[in-house]
Amino acid sequence: MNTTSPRHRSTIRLAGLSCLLAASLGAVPSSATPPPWQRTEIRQPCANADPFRQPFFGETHIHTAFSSDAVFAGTREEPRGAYSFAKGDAIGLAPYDALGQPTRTAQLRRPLDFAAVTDHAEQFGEILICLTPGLPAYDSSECVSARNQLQTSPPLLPSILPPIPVIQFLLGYGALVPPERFDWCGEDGVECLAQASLVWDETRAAAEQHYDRSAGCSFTTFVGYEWSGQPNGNNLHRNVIFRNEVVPELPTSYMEEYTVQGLWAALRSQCLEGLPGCDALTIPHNPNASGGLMFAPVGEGGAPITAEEAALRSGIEPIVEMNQHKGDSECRTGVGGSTDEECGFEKLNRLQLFSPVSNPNQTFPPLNYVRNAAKQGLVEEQRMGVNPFKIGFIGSTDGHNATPGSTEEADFGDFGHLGLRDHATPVFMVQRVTPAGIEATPGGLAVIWAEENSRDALFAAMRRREVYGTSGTRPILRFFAGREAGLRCGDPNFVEKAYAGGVPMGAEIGPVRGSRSPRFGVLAFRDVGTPGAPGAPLQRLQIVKGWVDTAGESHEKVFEVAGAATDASVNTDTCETSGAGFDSLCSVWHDPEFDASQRAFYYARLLENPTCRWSTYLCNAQGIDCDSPASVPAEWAECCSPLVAKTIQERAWSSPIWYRPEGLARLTGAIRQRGAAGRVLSLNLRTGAGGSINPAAQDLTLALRDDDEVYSVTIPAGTMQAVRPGVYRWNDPSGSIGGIRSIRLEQRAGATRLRLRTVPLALPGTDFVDHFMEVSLRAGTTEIVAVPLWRSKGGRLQTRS
Amino acid sequence: MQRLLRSPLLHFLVGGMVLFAVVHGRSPTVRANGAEIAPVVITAAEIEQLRRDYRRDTGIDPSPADEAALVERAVEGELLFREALARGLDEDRSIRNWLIEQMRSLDPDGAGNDDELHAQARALGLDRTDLVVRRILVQKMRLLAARANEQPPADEVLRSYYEEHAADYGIAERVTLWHVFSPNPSSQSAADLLAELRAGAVAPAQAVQRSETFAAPPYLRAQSPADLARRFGAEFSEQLSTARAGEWSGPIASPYGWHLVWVEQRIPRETPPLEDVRGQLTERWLDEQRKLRLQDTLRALKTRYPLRIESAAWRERISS
Repeated sequence: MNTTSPRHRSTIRLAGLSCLLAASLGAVPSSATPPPWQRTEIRQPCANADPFRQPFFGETHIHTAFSSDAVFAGTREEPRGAYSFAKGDAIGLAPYDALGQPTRTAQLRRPLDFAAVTDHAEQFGEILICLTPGLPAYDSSECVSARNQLQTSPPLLPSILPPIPVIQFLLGYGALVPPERFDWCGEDGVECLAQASLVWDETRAAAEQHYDRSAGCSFTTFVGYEWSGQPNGNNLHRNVIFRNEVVPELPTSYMEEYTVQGLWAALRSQCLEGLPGCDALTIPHNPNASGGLMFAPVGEGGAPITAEEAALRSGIEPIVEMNQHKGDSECRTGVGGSTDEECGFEKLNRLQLFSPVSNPNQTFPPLNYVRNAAKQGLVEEQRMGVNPFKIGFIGSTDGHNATPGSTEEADFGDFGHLGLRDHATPVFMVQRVTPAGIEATPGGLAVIWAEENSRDALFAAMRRREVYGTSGTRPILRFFAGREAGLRCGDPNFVEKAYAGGVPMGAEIGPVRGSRSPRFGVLAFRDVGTPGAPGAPLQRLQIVKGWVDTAGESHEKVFEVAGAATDASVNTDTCETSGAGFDSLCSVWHDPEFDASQRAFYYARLLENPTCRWSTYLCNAQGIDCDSPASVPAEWAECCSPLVAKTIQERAWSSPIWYRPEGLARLTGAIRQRGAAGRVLSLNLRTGAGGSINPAAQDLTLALRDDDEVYSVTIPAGTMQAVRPGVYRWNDPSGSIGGIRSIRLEQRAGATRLRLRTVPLALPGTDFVDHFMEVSLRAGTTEIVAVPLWRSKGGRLQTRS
Repeated sequence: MQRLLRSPLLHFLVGGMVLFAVVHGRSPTVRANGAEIAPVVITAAEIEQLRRDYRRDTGIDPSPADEAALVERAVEGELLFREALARGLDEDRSIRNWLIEQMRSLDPDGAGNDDELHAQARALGLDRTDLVVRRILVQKMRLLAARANEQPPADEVLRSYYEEHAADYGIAERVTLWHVFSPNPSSQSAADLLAELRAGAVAPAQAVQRSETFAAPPYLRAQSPADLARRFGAEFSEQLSTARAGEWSGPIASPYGWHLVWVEQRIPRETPPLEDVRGQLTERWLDEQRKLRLQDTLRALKTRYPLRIESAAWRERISS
């Protein structure tokens, strides 16, 4: 099969790239605009590409019959089925009849743009061995117990947990430290691993079959899997997403590496550094059940995390699945200093995923919540200069029905997410112990701002964190920060101007307006909805700020920036909505409490008007009337629990923008054509105070990149001469180091200024067309990266930001 | 060995084995040399067991069609098991490991190296009766049958396969357009603006500067109906399908307000070249071939082994 061996790799360039179409961005963006990322696979560029990016809706976390906990719950659809579903086809759900026909079917009301199937990798082999296709296995004691525990009535009582080995098996999770494979896998699990490669091959083949490589760009798949580490019951799960079809021979599961540091090291050695063309990132989920460990500021072996470890971590783990079917992990009221009343949203009230105890009044570790983790990241950055938890936000479902993107509240009661576990009978939906039960949610979606719907484009956007999460609906949310001079709501070129004058969600900024607050541009549109059923109107736009003071204490505050509560309401008997709301919301905001010396993050949160929660749809359909308690059957009592909300305010969370006092304050640059002599690059950048670049002791690496490497140079430590304290210089008319004619680095009052000019060079990768191009400067663990807009004008490509 | 013979677990295991043998009512010995082949037998008692399992799992009484399906699956499993033994797949290391582990668990303190334990297990007949062994063999046989001699499709095969399924890979008609957005509630201002644009023959690039901020940019390239539905709603997408190129259309409603649209170009539906969909097609074709190959194998096995199946429902299905 052609996908079991890495494809021939070559970087293809966009058609017509070399022709100098001077597309003025104010008018017509050209499809020949080079993207700020490399093409690593063979495919057509997308005809509908947009250099200012479009939102693609999908998810990166779905299980199929290749996950033990799914197959033992009766799910039969495999990755191919999951992808068909994501593209809009109907698929079958358990229970299946004797003829092998599903007794239920599910279909999305609108398709997704992308999906990644992420089956638990721990038991790829064991499942194949255990499973008789079509019927649940009757094999070993583990399989028998699994089946009996999960499939048939009576339901698990909240106080009864299956024995640990059974949980271990049927969930495909590693709970034991260190983990063990089952006896039949042979020494070192070799037999099971041999079987696992068949599952992995099929996972890859399914992704290939459903990935549209044509110019139509209708759907994107990713090869992925879930590393299911849950040591001692604390959830540390990571989804591993590969950039393209070049992937390791076998996934590294909890069985092989039972610490997350071990997983990252394995990904580096087997993929990023060890396999040409391979690239991967990890996405954690459910920090809300991690015992405070998912974002604990520790490294290998539990020592305080170092700057090197932090840099590695934030590089390989840029985003978190903050919202999914086992609850929302944004924040929790009263935990870690959050007083925000919106933190009550869809909370899992359990300390561990399989805890039988659901109690909102337990003591929850602060670092179970992403907002607190993001604040902790600032504290760590203050301590050592690198933020280990610089993390963007997405949602996904984590469903186990092979139904990616099945997030409609109105459908969830019918479809469920765990096969027979929540649908052997309808009442299981509200009754079963976690992770199902009435506490569950349909889960969320991941939204990626990318130029086009291709793997490289989506992956690059995830890596730069230009993503947002929703609780399952599809509102549009954009968020920018920067100088943003002249940015105005209502302007038809709002987005283009916002990019030109600042950075998008997921990026970082420095003191771009000196001691004054940067401007934040935030724009939202309601979910377009489905035919005849537009999404709920918007209610409010907020900006959530977290910061750390000079004493190292972290703080948070929520600012209302647009919209307001209206008379909107829901009739929870009929689920009809009424009252006013907004089609769109917009604001250009500045922080009234801005202090340029304090590191901070800002993210936008968008709230829709309330609608019925899934449980209300289901309970209504069952005829449950909570107004007459005597009429409510005991098994449906959860429908009327005061702990369960009747309505939901669907929402979206942008990835944060990080303000760093030592970050980039100003960047100008130009590449000028000097006739036949070549092209001269000049760069001029200034940072805020607090950086720690030392050219006497550190190599300095500077690079310009779009889909090509346009320019790159490393100036060895000690090359630049100190002409006086804090001022370093290197002049060389012959340009012996990377063609540098002159470079000057000056540190004054803690701030760094760098000026560079080259001799005329070939710079053949330069595209004289308006486009985004990355500029990066690295020295030690210091990293300054910006992706400004460069404009082409009369033989000159230049940026001012 | 003394202690082993007293082990309750052994009694349980041997008891289960005897029961299994009784239920199956035949020798587990298989002769596949063509001279004498033991028939595949599924007894009325076994079929009753299948019916009971099904009832327990689903709460439903199996219909005759259900029974036929359950029996068919059991027949397939037995055929694959027999064929796996005939091909010597039970010599596999995973099965050997499993049998050794079973013997160890019977007598954790007992002596004996792996070879001896393996021999003991075989002497007890565990290699024929153990359900895990059976499952492993059936699964291996299934995979082997599905992937035997697998080859990627020849170019001409793929080409004709593509012709057959081209409709699934077509790229829909797309439009490149400019649009001017006017928010809710009234369409009047949009209508007024439309009249103005038409009267003044305003170029699209200038006209869009009159737009309010919208979620999508004023100029959109190569939008499929799905793209338009995603950004403007399905109704808008529908309406735009009749808009003529090179003139202003509208106001067209979306959930957000009103849009004046200048269709710059309609790009007709096209079928991408084979190269663009080669990976998609190849994986689909291979998957189909595996299913067909497995069916072929099962069909062949059914003629190779005599079948004695005590189910009228099944016989009826076979003959129909």
